[in-house]
Amino acid sequence: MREELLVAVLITASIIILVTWVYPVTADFWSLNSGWNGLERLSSQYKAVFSPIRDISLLDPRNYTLFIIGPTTPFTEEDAIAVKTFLRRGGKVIIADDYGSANQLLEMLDLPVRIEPGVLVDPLLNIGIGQLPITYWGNKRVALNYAAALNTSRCSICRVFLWSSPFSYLDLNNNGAYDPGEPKGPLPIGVSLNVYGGEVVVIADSSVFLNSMLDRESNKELLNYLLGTTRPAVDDSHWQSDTLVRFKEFLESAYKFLSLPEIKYSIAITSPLLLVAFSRKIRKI
Amino acid sequence: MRKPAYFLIILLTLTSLVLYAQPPRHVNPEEVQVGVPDPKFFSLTYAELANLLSTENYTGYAELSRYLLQVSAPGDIAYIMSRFHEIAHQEGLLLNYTKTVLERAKQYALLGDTETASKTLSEALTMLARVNASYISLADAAQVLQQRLKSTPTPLLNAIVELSRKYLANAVSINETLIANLTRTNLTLYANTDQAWIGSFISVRGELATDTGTPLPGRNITLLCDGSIVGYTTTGAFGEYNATIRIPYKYVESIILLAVFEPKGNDSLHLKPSLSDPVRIRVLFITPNITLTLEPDTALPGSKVNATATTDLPRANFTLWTFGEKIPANSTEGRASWIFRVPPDAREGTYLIRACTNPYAIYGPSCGLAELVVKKINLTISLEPPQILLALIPSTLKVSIQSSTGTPPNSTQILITIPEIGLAQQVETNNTYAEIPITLPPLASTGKATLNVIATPSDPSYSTATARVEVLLVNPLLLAFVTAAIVGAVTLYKKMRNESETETTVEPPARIEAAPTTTKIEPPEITPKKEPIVQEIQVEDPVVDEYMKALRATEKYTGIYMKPSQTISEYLEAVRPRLGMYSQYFEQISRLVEARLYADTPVDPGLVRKLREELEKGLGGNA
Repeated sequence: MREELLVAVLITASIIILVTWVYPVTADFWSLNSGWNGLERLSSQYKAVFSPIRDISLLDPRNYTLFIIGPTTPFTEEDAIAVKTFLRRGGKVIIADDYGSANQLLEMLDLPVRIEPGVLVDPLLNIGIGQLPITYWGNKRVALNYAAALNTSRCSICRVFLWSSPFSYLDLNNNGAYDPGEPKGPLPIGVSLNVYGGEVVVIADSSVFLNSMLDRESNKELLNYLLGTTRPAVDDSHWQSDTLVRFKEFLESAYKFLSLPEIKYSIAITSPLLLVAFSRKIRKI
Repeated sequence: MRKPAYFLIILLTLTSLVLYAQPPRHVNPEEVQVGVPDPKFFSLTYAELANLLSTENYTGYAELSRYLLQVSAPGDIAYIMSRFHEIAHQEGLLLNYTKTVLERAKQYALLGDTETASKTLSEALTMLARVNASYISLADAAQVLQQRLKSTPTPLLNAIVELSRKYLANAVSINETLIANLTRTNLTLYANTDQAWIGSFISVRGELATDTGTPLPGRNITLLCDGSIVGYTTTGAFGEYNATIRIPYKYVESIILLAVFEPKGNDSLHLKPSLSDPVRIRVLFITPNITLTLEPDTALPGSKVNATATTDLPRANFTLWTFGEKIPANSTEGRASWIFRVPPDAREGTYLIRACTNPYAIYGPSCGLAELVVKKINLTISLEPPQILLALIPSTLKVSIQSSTGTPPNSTQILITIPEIGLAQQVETNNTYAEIPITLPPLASTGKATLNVIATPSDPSYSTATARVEVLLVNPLLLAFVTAAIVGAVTLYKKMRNESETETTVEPPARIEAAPTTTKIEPPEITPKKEPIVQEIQVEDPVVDEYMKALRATEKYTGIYMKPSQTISEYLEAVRPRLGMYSQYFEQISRLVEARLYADTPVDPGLVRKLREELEKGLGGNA
């Protein structure tokens, strides 16, 4: 009876783990999300590391570029210090945001650039609808997805490298139409600043490197340009947590534990013995 | 009950409205339905293009119309739009070209080069014909666009028509000039010198006459210097003219002077315009010598540098250009000094610092250059790692920092990483020597790994230093786990194997051979050493049956199972220590069954049952 219960529990646990493993993650930006709004391609194709800012700041800036994409939770003073430390060691930090949540970090870093409220709309140059505008990186086109614009009026050290077209405007009241007084293009969308011995790049769109956007226009080229020879290290500590993601991460940790050489070889040695012993026992039952 | 329900509905509605007010972060681009572009925007853009055309801003027109070529739209709308935009873009280029060619034709006509002017004009007229031809297609495309997209390109069409008319009028005017039988004129220009000081006056003179030598008195002559008008004069009775020109404050090597005659009024019906040959005047001015010295010429980031500029000018307004900054200074007796700071975040390298004087009067601009080398103080790290790093047990890494100047930085951040196990630790030290405790994570794997150390001083004048060393990681916890797992698995395997073998052998109903109850065993023939194995026990005998029951209870209690090779006595000896005080019952049962089996002695089954019950009672109570 006891053995039957054990087998039932084992089978149930296996099914739960299997279902969790194969069930797709749909939360924005997560590395495990292979859907349109995930960063699975950034993770697999560019071997991105996903960690909290404080851990990333300890990485070697010669090998990694720090990405802060679409933050939704507030930044702490420790986060700002970690970013400054990374910059002081000559690192490059890419801040991609369209909700303005990253303005708090920009303020903590004393950077004179801000993400403006509103949605960038280009009724003529877009990849389907005005809210998916085409922007210009030199002669190259970069497609965005519900982007904002940057306020660089106080920024003398900003080098704007990404502009919207002359047809674009910033839809401040989100009614999808141009109203008098709304800022008209060309608007600055991406800037680069040399500060603290490193480089900060601010892009007014969190979606530019999503799975569904990477192959659009010259988005991949822009990513390659920003990365140079480094790998992306993405901050995952400023996104809303998701139970499924957390459980999947737990399973990944468990898998990593089981992949340790000591554990792996122990299992390899003991499992045949246990299998033979248990099979005899089960046969007896 | 109803009130809370209403409240809940209102709350949900408000929440959904608030959520709706916030635009989405992004949408799936694959799922968006490509809509028709807003015609209002096209109308506005066409009006802007028309405006650019009417001001003949062809650069702006070309830029904006190039953007329009990239506009995306669904289905056939895309073709309708791109047809209109392509022709509009082309029209702009043709009009721009026509304008340029017409201007050239006019210039040739003014110079009297009728042959080239005619050729160029012919080219301009061809261009205009192409503009008109394209316009027919453009008007057609505009009509379709207006019907399908409801946008209004009329202002753009009107602007094109206006410009075409204007250029045609210009062409006609040039043509009239060419076909008229005008008298050619000759204009000469001479200067009294071929070099002059900047700002000084020079005299020029010349003559205006027809190509047959008839002087043209009382005609206006325009004098140009590098294309800018610098004076007017009128010819005298013999067609001669004189003028004084001031050399402009242009600190250049030389300038070009020209005289132009443009027939006005009645003259334009008889005379052709003429242009003199250019006269080159070398401009003289003093270029001051500037010497810039830096003290020191090799500096650390964040440090101060003294810059001194000297010049042979009695007074000069200096500007020092350093690290993207402009610092003005006035000189005293030809000397100016500055103190500037090297930016703390300046990278190592050679920077050019320049001190320039602003030009005034006969003194031209001049710059003195000096090289500033920005160099950080080199740091080196020496490491003394422990021979073996044990997981969970803190080990100490000894780090000493030396600087090339001997003065260490006040504070240094030391970053220690072991990439193989994802370890990253950061500490700050104020000393040149630090003992840093390293604690490996509990799941660090045993093996060789690289320990990297990066020292980043807080003082920007010091460079970052790195060092790496190979270390051996040992995780006793995981090794103990491995050993325990293997030992445990082997033990479990052995136990299960034993259990399985015993249980299979002692299965009474299947294995006991049925011997006839009538079989008699002769006592003398049976010796204890040759006791039959348990398989030969008769199960039908009540005494044997009782023994079997006692045997099972004993096996269960002791965990020792009777092996096929064991005799009743041998098994009794094996379990005796485990049974303790109850061994007497099992011993008596064993002796009785032996007597029954091997001596054929009559045994009372009731006695055996009683003993067995006592045994079970005892064992059951202690189990």
